[in-house]
Amino acid sequence: MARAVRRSDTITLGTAAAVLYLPLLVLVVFSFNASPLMAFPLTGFSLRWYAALAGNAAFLHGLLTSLLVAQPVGFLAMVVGLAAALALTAPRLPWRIAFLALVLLPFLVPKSVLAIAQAMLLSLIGWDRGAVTLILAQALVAAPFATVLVAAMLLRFDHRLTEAARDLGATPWKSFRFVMLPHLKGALGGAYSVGVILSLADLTIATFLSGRTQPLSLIVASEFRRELRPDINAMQVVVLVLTALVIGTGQLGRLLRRRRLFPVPLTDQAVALRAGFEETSGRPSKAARC
Amino acid sequence: MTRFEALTGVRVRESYLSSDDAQFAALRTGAASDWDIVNPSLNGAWRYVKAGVLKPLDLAKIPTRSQMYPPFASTDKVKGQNGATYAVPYLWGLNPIVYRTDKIQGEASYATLFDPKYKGQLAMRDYALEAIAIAALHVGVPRERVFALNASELAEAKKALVAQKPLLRTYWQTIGDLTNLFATGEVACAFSWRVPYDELKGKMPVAMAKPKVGIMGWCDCFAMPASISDEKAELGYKFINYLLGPDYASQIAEKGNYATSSSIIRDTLSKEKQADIFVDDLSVMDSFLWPIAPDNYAEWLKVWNEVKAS
Amino acid sequence: MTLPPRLRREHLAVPVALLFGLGSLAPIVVLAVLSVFRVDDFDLVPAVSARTWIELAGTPIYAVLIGKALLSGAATAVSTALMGYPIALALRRLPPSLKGPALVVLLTPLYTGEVVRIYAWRVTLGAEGLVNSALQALGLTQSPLTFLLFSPFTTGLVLAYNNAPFMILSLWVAAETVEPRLIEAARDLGARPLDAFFRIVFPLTLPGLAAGVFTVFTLAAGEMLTPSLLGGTSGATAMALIENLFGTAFDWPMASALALALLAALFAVAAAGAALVLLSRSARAVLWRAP
Repeated sequence: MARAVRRSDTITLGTAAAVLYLPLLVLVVFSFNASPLMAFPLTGFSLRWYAALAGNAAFLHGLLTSLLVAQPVGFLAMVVGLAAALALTAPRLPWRIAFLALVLLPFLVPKSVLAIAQAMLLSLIGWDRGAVTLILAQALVAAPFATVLVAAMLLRFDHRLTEAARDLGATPWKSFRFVMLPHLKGALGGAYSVGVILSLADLTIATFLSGRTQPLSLIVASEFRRELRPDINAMQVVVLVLTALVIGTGQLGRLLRRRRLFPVPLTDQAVALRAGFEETSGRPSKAARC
Repeated sequence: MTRFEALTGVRVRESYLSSDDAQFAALRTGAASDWDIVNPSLNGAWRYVKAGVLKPLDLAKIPTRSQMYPPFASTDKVKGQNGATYAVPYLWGLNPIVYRTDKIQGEASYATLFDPKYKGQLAMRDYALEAIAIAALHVGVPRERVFALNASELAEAKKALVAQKPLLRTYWQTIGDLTNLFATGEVACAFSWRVPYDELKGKMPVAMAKPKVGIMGWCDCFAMPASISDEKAELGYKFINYLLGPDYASQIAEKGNYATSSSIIRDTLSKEKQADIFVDDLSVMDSFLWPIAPDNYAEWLKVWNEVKAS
Repeated sequence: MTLPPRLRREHLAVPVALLFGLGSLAPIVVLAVLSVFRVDDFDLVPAVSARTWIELAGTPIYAVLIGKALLSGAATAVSTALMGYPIALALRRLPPSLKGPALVVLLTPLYTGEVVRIYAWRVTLGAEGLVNSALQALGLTQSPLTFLLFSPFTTGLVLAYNNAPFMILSLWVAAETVEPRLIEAARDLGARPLDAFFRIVFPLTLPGLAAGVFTVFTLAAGEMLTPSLLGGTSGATAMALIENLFGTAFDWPMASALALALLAALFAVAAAGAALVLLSRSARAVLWRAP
């Protein structure tokens, strides 16, 4: 299969990449620009914004909060996604389409509308907003992706395996635990990361449902309202490099483990990654997002 | 804040909120049960009072209040129908017009914002209340009435805003946004806050104008939730007393370029500093215009959105 | 956790449905209920009235904004599909070893926050920005092109940018399943490239196209930040108005009604669009073949 990339394809992909990375290039340039203003002309090279980043206690505290919130979101998304996927692919499920629609609903509703509606509901029943509501709401939005991810794997799962286990005397729980679950490990890991990524990138839900829990996105948004300081560009660059590294090593790991990356795994990766990135285009309020 | 903490040993914890509305909603719905101090705006204080979420204040416990400028000391916007005071104004400022002196001839006024000569160089804030009020001033509605427009005046203001729209480069959203618009040369004159002026004055020829016909002011108030315990309320009084005192006033004048509502340190400041924080000429307080949401605010919002979608 | 023998997998649907019902269906029901209430002095009064719905129907501005949301969603879906196809097909032809890195390259930009990217666009497209400076330096224009920033063009461009990766991914995943030999066979039989595309690749990737269109449409129609910060005076959106009504105006009934109307319109158009694509003859052929 190894063949050279066509010239026309090189041109297409090259152009696409150039356009895709043009605004990022601008970001990188301004993160190294000495002036506090994001405007041309450039005023000279400086690392001051990266230094400012390290000394910003509010940022660091927000980052810690974000990380602590993201873990349970990932876990809940994974568990709910597994349960929903098992139900969805069960042979005897009645009302399957209605169930599917219900599970996909949090994705289909624009996130700000959903978050506003949830905030109204919480107000009506007098439930305080805080870390718990934030985690639940983020997990709810992550769950549809987790479900799709796990269900995709379940559909490909050979049910004769569980049947064989049952024939050999395993209880349903045992056949689930020792035959099916190991098979789903990858998908479950993906579901977990989707929850984590989505939670880290979220601002929309946090705006309406976080109460006094203040994740990084919220703190950055509130700083950004007052002034656009290049240390936020710097932070963006750092985050960007880190994610590229994480994804990059993940890819490399896969590549080394099994030579054949495609076509099958692409679907799973795509669904997982896409779900994770989806939230980055969620609509925050008037406030900004990092 | 740190100074107050050092003085009293009380730790002040801040919450970041996106707006006055968010704060009000939080108080209203009980989501803010652990707050001891809230900062309603002077203009929005009435709804907190009306909704009964604030504690009536014992003014005798705020001795520094004695030196407050008259417009703040006498305002009844912070009073309930029973005459009790529920909030104390402590920090204020003006929302001037900021403009480039190299691109705008003479001192800017609200008329500049409607002048076809400057097509493509103007910006307004994307905020129904202020935009409609400015348009109303521009079409000749007297200052006292701009937040209580009748139907025909509202229609007049709308017409002016529709005519203004093609002249604008954009509507600005946050003050950081507007600073960026000036810095990148997109905008030469805008109804603004003072922030872009402070950030850009050394870098380009910018100036501030305070239209005599009526200048939008903002003012933050100190208040305590109705549910606060007596013990915490005592600390609250100490805190507001500190905010109105000389220590906080000189710090905020130095670092933030803002004035507190008290005249306590005014005479110790240089003339330039006084001008910077708008207290050099106290007659400016005569042309104050406090934006206050009218009863038919939903109507205003509709008008504003019709303008934007026209 | 031991499942009693009578409990089966499908029974898991009950707690899951309960959870999703509470988390997302209930808030939407709350919207519906609130939309017929009234607000007095910041208190919701459960006095049923059709005020908001009558006002909604009788005020053109609401319909205009909802229409604008639909149009913007549709335009973004079409433009991303048009540029997505060549890119997805080129990605499909990449050697396997390059596909992983290509995926990373495609998705990484989405990790940057939206607002930060918006300001990057400002210095790129502004009057004193990169593009205008380049054009003037090359002598192609005399004065800056002002329509590049703060115009419907900008909104369209950046919405397409923000959503293109989702469309490309959907199309790419679908294109991976197209058997290359099918295309080769068609070419051998004399089909020109465009013919081969419309007769083979296009029908076979229709499910992916439908998924991409659906995703991009709902995402772009719900956008509010990009239009308001880059669209200039053309940046009004239904989403921003909903938030305004909810927060500043404290008119929860009207906010609820408008949100519901927007939701209904989005669903109607998206479902109709997806159905149209999926029920077309070629899509049916593909879907029936799938397991």
